[in-house]
Amino acid sequence: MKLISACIVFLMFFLASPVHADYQRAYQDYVYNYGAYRNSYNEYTVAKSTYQTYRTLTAQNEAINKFRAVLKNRATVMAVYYNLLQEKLVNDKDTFNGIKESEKGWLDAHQKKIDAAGSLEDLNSVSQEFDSRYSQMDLETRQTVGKILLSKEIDLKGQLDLIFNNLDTKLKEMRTEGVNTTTQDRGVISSKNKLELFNQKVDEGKAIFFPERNDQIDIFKGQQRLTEANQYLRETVNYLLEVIKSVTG
Amino acid sequence: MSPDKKNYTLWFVVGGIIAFLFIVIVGVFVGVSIMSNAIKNAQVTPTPEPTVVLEPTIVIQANKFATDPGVLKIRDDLKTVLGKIDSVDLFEPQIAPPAVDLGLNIK
Repeated sequence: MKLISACIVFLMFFLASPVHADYQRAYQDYVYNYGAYRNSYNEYTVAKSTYQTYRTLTAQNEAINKFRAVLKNRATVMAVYYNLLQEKLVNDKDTFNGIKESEKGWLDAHQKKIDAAGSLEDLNSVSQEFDSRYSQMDLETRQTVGKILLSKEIDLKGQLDLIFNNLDTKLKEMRTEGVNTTTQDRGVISSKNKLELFNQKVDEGKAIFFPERNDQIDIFKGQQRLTEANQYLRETVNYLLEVIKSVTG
Repeated sequence: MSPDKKNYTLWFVVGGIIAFLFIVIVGVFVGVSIMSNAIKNAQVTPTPEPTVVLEPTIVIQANKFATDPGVLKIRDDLKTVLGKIDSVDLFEPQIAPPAVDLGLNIK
């Protein structure tokens, strides 16, 4: 009996927040691999410097090994970063999954090329391929970060829209029963005006995260627009709370 | 002047004086009466005051909706959303793009 109870608790624990657990796992994986990449980068710079100073065979072999390691770790970091974003996404998971699988396919092939490279020239060539590909990966991942952040504000606005609908219905009911709702109606109009400013800021954020041209996406700038949008959302709710207070007293 | 004529004149004068006094008294009485009415009327005239418009129906209805479950639910929902708005993380440093290095090469 105790065993069954323990099993039920165990299952409930894992079923309760599978998404969160997956995200935490992905994040730990990302942190570990990013740390490994930074270490290998430091070793690469030392090996590169040693080789360029002494030009010995031993230094060259060491440089090849360290160069190979940093390239592989860099590719791994990008692969696990795609996993992290996949777990963090709430909407459009399928769309991003397609992108992620495509990039992971490319990164796998890239890793194989790194393994196959036998000389510094080969590694330089493979490294160059990554550089060429990176702008695409950077765009995709930055847009995905934008999508994650935008979805938070859009989700909150969706919740507020439902409340607006409920409030409209309630005010209609009050009017039907002969209540003068002029004050409340005015408050609702002011709230909707604030919500319009929220929409403008969200649109500005979208324009930053999804530029018409493939410019570098400034995530911080987008975050600032969303923070401003969030402030308008806060003011909208405060206005609505005042409307409710005018009814409840 | 004969005594009869003298008496007649005396009576005429006395009667005239009495008639005059009577007219004066009546005049004073009427005057006082009119004045007192005027003063009375002036005191009684009410000052026009703004009409107080009571809205008993609205007050009663507002009280009714003050405890309406639908209204209270909207208030609670708003407070919940406000809590979410205050706690939303729009920076998420955990998902910031990794700082990978480009241009790696050894020549």
